[in-house]
Amino acid sequence: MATYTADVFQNEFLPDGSAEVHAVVTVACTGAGQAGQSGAGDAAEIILIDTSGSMDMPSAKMIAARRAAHVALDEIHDGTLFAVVAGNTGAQMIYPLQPSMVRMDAAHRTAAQQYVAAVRSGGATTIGRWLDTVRELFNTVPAAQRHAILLTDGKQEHETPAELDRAIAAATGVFQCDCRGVGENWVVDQLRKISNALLGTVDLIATPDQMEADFEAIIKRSMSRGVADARLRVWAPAGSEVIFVRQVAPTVEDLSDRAVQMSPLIREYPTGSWADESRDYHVAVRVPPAPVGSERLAARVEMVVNDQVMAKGLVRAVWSVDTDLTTRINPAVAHYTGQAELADAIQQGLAARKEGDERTATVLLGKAAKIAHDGGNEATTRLLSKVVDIEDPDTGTVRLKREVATLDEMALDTSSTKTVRVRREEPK
Amino acid sequence: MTTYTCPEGHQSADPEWCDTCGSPIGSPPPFPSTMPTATVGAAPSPSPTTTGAATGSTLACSHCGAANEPDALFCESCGFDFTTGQAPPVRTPVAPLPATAVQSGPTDFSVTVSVDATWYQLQGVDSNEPCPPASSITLPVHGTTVLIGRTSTERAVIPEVALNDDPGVSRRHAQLVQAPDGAWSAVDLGSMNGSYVIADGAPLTEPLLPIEVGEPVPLPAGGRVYVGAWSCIALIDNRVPPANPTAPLPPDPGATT
Repeated sequence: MATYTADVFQNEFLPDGSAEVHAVVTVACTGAGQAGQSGAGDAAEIILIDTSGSMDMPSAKMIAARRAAHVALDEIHDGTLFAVVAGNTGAQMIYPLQPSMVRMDAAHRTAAQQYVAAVRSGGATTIGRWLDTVRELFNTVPAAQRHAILLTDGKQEHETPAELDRAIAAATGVFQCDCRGVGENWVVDQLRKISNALLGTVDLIATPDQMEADFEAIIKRSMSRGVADARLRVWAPAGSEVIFVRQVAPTVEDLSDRAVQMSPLIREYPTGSWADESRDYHVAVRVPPAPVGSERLAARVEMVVNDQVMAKGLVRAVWSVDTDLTTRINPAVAHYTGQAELADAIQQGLAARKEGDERTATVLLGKAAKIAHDGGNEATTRLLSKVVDIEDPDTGTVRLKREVATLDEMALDTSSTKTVRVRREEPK
Repeated sequence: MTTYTCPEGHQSADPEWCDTCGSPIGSPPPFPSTMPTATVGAAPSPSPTTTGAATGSTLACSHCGAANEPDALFCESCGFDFTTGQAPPVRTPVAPLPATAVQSGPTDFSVTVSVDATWYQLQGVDSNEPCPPASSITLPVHGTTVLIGRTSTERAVIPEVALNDDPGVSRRHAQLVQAPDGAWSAVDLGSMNGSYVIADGAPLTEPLLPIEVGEPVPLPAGGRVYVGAWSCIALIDNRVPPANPTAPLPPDPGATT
């Protein structure tokens, strides 16, 4: 049985007349067990591999994809419902042969691996249609926890953006999807849109030989998620406004758009399935100001599994005229505010660079270099330094490089949302 | 099902915090909104009825939770001020005075605010504003805090050190704070352009790093805080015997103004 804890980090003291309350809530899950074993229902896993013609240029990509799928099948636990799908101009079943899902056992694993080894490439990249096929497959089984891996090397070209958006909207809430791009011809924004909506991750596989290890890690993680579906429930008082709810660690993701209004004062945010892990959420609420000296509950943040409250964190507001108290900024809130700005600065800076707006790109990437340096994001600083020459990280003075490898730029883009954790003081 | 009534009159299923407005249940309702808010440390109202917040026979302190006499002005346990909502005072060596109070006689500390041409060369030349001619003014320090900033009537920011002409100063820029043991420190309040502290008599040279926002940095007498495009604030201890002259500004051979 999984247990959750929630710790709140905030400065609850507000100056007179102020109304904005910020808090970082760390939610940790232990004893999650394994996917499909927690009694909540079956787990289902689909491996979706791009087999369009470009995967054979060079052929190392297709060879690596076959090996990666082979390893992924090894990692899927017996008893898990699974299927392997090839994506090209449409989507074809690799295993089982009919559009359905089967329960993993030794015989199915061997058979599936043989069919995977025989996959050949050819055709176009139509990610929207692939997502539709995966959704229909998942809908044939009553599984509680549905997860897919999407591997592609190209961008959506034979469908309109509207078709992809519709497919993403249809898949939202049906399954979770981790997206991986191999090579340099795919579009980070496109896959990020999918992984954001489908509660997954997006990452770059720079060279085909890294694919095997990556697939193994994704399936292992998926199989360790014993909590099928958890939601973050946020209560805020009457007359207040939830400004945003953002996941800030391990990655930055704005959850505000995912809110489901449960009652006038309660919203729920789907967070997908959980393994033994911890995630940080930044909650910002505007509450009606109260007189100095009074105290209010500004938000109640709960983790909910199957309508049961697993953990609760209280965000408070106390109005005071003591500037020593009200001017303090909680280190966790400050750190994660910076991390969210960092992700924005990198993504917008790279977009400006692509459009040839060097001035904006220099300012934004300079800001990113400063925040990454201040926040101790060494990995991000390293990736940034391949795109810009960092002259002074303290002031954010950078110079755009003339020649930048596309892969370096994509690596920076995909990793922009990964955050480093703030150094922790003891929770109060 | 048990319901609880919050101080605002809502019915709540949660025994601790009102389901509707978030008020703590079982603690006194908020203080009358007519209470003074701007004058920190003002004398408490003589009328004990201003606290009229007691439920039953005790008044729960909203700072430490201890029970108090219903007409108490301060919490017996932690010293929380029920009238102003100010947190427990640290033991202040002098009676707190309103910022505007005029105190006769010399104060223990004062600050010298000056236009610093060297600082302007390092930091202010980018502001596209010409450096004003050199000048300085010494202000007495009353109380234990000195707010540095720019006056804003809309935001009710009235700093003791008002650098209204310096374009690089934030409204609430930095604060000098005296600890109970008498030692001063400087705190940056999240200013746009940062605050720079030189604690000893060292000359101003690059590279300079701004102090961490919200982190007090010790500021002994003679220490200087540089802010904005050309402003320098020096702390002077008037109790120091004249043998050690009060001018804390170091000799600055580079400045020609």
